[in-house]
Amino acid sequence: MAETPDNSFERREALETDSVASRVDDWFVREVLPLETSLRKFLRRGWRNEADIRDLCQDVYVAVYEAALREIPASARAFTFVVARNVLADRVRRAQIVPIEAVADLEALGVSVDEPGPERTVMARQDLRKLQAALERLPARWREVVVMRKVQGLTPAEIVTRLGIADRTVSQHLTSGIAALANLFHDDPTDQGEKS
Amino acid sequence: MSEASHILRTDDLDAAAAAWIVRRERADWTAGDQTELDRWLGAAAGNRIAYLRLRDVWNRADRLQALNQPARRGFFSFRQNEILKPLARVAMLFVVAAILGAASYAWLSRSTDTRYATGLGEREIISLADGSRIELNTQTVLRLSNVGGKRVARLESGQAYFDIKHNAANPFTVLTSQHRITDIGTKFEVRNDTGKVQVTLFEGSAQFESDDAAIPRQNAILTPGDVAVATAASMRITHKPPQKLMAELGWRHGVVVFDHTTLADAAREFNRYNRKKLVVTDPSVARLKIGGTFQTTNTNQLTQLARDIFGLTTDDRGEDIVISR
Repeated sequence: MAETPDNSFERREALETDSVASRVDDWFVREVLPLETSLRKFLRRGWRNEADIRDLCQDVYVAVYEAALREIPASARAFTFVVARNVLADRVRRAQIVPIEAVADLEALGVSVDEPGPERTVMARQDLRKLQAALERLPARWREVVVMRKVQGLTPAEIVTRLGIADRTVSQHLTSGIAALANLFHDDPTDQGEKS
Repeated sequence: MSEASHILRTDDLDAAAAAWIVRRERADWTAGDQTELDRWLGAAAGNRIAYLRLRDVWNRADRLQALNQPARRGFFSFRQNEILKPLARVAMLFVVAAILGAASYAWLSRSTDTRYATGLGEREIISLADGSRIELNTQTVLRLSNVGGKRVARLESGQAYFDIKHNAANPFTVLTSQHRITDIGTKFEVRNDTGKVQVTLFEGSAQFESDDAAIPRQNAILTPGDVAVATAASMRITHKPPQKLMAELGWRHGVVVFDHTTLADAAREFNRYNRKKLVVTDPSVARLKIGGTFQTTNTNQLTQLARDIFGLTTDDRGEDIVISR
């Protein structure tokens, strides 16, 4: 009888999909994460220290995510950029420096919060192009394992055999590769604070 | 690691989240590990966000498989191409310019014919000037033409969702090998498999008819909820409740929704999107039923549940994964 395993399978899925957190997770991945390229561009114009950009993004994400746990905002884009402006203003206050651009209006930065941004129409092709560009910029030893895993579809165990290096080293390279790939994927390489 | 000098707070978090992703993909992942991961994810919103963010890009990276297809090999081989790359880029620019040139020429000459094709696991959205939208699923070939004001889409293979702005003066027609669908202001989906066409109607109505003198005449007006399946010999129309209809469109968001689906059917569905095929040969395994929402390009989710819930064995042979007792 396939009855019992069938039921438990569905129960488990149901538990995961019904909870508030997973609903917010879905929304976050679908609506907020694709904004990161624009978000980085926005943050970069208000904050000069490149090393802080990923931190600032994360601050914005945490604030947006926590607000969404209470109520999912009607417009992810508008909400995210309002939060981003607050995060920037806060950071500037705490740093006790006032770079002129830091508190500029969203409009002045050319970020329209109501119009659908280009990320709404991101498609498979663009994904592939962005991924490819990110992959090319990945440091060589991380790129090697990422290519084996994602382009050639090898399992971690197969990569270990293929490269003849320690299991732990493969895991470490994959770990670094995943983190770096995400940053590169979300970064527009042509964005150096001045564009369009 | 040598990069340690400028590692920051969030970079550490990313490293931790990435390590979980790597660990989770290992063959020796256990229920205990899952509990530990759940605990880590629940400990702080920041953890969960870092994990979701990296997993999102990592899942998207499955698309890179497309670069491994024999036809495209060489287009993407790193080492030997280092010197040729700038040249290749310039060449690519010319190709793009040529395509754009050809496209605008075709557009200007008012009789357009454009071919769209998606590879394994790819999706593509086509926005038309009149506000209509067409979404292509994996391995789909669609040819769009506009001849004398008549909009015609020929679905040569695969699956597509149509959201068509109705225009009585300029009807929109979808052609498959032996059938024709004419919109009467609609949202509908067409799947063209070898020898079988399935049309699902979501909004408005459409006419579905045979378009080949060699086969018996078939004709029906579809209304919302109708699912018509036609072969050369027959046409059958069933009606589905709204919830099931939405599940049908899961692919538009990169997921497949199973509901009392046999493992054999689920494997077949997954194999439409992935190079590494799932193989189920044991009939008693093939009959097991599953439910839930899965990412189309993440076979791990299915194999893992096959192991965890059904206690099945999954054997990753490189080219394919065999699911058995």
